[in-house]
Amino acid sequence: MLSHLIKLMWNKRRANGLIFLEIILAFIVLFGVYAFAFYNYDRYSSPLGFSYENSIGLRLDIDDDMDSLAVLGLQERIVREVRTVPGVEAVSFLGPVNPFGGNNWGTGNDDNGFQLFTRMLFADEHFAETMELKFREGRWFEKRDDNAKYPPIVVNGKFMDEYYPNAETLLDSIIILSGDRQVIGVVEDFKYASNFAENEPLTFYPQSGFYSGDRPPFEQMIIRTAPGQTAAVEEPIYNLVTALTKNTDVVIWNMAEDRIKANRPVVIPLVILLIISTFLLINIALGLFGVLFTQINRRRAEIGLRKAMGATPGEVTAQFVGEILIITVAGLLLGTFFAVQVPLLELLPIPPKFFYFGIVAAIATILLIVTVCALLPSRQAARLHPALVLHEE
Amino acid sequence: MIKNYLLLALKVLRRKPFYTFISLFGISFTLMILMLITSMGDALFGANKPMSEVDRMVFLPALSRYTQFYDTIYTIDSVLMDDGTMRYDSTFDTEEIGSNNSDGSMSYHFITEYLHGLSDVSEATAFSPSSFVDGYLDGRKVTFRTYYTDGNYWNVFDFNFLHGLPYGKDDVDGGNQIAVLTDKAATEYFGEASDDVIGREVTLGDRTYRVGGIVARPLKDDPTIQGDVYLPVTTMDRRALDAKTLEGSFSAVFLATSPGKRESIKKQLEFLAENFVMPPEEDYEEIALYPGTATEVFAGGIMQERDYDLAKMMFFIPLFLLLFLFLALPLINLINLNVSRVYERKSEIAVRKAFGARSADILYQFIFENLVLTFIGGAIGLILAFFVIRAVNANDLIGIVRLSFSFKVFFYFIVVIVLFGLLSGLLPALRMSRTNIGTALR
Repeated sequence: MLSHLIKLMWNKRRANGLIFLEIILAFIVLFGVYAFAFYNYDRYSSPLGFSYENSIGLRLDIDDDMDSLAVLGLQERIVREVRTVPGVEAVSFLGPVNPFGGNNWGTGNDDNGFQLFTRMLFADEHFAETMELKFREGRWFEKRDDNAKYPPIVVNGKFMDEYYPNAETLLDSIIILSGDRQVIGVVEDFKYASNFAENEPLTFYPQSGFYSGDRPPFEQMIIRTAPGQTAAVEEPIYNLVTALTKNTDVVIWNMAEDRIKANRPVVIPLVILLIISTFLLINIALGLFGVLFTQINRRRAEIGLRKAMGATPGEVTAQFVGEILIITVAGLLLGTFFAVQVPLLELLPIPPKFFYFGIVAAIATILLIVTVCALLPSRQAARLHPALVLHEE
Repeated sequence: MIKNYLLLALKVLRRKPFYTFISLFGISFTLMILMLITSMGDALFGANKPMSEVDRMVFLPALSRYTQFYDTIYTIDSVLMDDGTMRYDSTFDTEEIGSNNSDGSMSYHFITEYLHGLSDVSEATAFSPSSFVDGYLDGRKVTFRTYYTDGNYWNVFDFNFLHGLPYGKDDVDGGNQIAVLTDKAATEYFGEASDDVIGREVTLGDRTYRVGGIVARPLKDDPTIQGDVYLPVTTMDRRALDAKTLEGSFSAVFLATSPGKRESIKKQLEFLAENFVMPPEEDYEEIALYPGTATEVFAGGIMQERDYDLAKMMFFIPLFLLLFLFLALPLINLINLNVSRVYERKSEIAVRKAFGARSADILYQFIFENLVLTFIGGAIGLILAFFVIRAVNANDLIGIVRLSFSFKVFFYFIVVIVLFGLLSGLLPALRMSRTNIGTALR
């Protein structure tokens, strides 16, 4: 039966060539879209590790001519006074890198005998409370750390998993990261660039090691408010900070909106791709349906003959669906051959499993569409009465 | 004749509404997307206001400071001589093992001090893009993206001034507090963008400016022209303006005397970077400049690649592949559908042939019919595209830039429609025109 169908289709290869080509192209498009979507979904589902829903960010400008003690005093005063604004729950200063801000700092070395690379984030002692961080072990920076023998750092879970997978604890380890640093805490996963960012090793540094010589002090803030209060606190905080810094160069943004903006570079292409591929699928389904309808209708006499010889409607349907599935499988096989080259040759820096998911999902989608499109006209044709169609001829 | 074909084509379309619907669905959606892509491509790469002279522009967005590290590798060959003594040959190589670098935009000092006096340059401008200023106006917040520019900015970029005038070199030198607003910014701040706004005061940060002009929003998507408010460079923070460091917040654009002279400007800038004597207080030893045309800088920025030729390849080849795939699928689908559809009309063709029609006549007829179908689909696509573009413009979905619906874009649309119609109709029409009269009339 199968070899018979294959021979039938091979004899009509010219007529079926276009369907074959269409299947391959559709497979390649779907494979790409699925792989891209799965990969991004996977990253999206890894947690950010901090709260942003009720927070606002603020950038201010501290006069460069102030000496460092005055700067620290001013920062403390700003934190204290902003904290008193009704609706504000926690206030924290941070360095040049802010969550969703698009900035990136990194450092690395191979001093310990292996390559180590980590993103950097600079934050003060209120940061953990403001961002509601969860700790795997240890604690956040405190004021007393400023006088510690080794400057303290806090790392994220990925840092520990990636570089010290077998260590029971990292606490009190001395790691060379821009100087000797002592780990005082490990937070759970923390990624700050966007929901679609890779979960990368990250190290938090306090201001004491950062603000020196040519580097400016911390000039960004994150302010967490009571739920629903983000808009209401903006103007009082703006007025307060401009008065304290004697500078109107103050910019306030909403972190929840910033997150949407940071996700946009992935979300927009993803949505466009999904819309376009949905349209392509509908288009292909309708087209295939139309083509099969005319093709099958042209074989009425053959159907009549087969039924007169005792074939059941089920057998006739199975034949037509089988025929089209053979072309489809042939197309999918060739398409898969091309598609597996992507993970095998490591053409793209994405884990291979997403490409295999993509292949499986694309095959399933196309088989489903083709079967549905073939089933309807085949069943209609199979119901024809032999006497009627044979009479036409 | 054409009229007959047209009538026939419309009759045929009405005879099988389901097939017509399938074809039109595919055609109109495909063409709509193509039109959107054309429109966006025109905004990205076309010579539109305020960058009508983009073919003559050389962009220098940033400066790279770096220190190259070298590794010296000694190789010692030992040779055992006939007399039993060892001979040692040592050679050594130095190779680059990495560099410490810092990339960023330039300082005003660097641009004005070192980048002037290039030949083949007709105009050059320095500007500081993308700082933000917040203001509270009657309890609501307005955030503007401010560009601090020199007077030449308005000679390099031909902004469409709806009202008023730009500020000139004298205004910049004098530190006059004059602002140029986009129509959108003016509407947001004053509630209107009209002649009445000219001369009124706008408070931005701690300074108050007089509105000198109102410009239409750009029809081109480029980071050099995306301001809401343009201000004279001398009114920005004095410390940032006077800083003698190399890095700052400024970019530069050069307008060449002719498109062919752009290469010369790029060469001069690269030469200048190679022979630059680093000031002793800098942390780095050398600088590099990466000047490029608009397309080069665009592709380089997206691909994060400094070799612009490579960046263009990395960007455009996958893009065209994607576009090809997207086009090929509906096209094959349509061809497939057309091939099986025209089969129904075998007898009609056979009759025409029996009465003396040549194969070419049949070919033309079918291609014409297909063109009619494509044009109907194209018209629907055009209407859809029009609404999508309007929605994009109204909601600022792709930033400040406005997608245009100009004659040029319309002309591209027509070309796209005709190409699509010809491509999808050719194969079925060819097959049909070769119909054998004998078998078809049987």
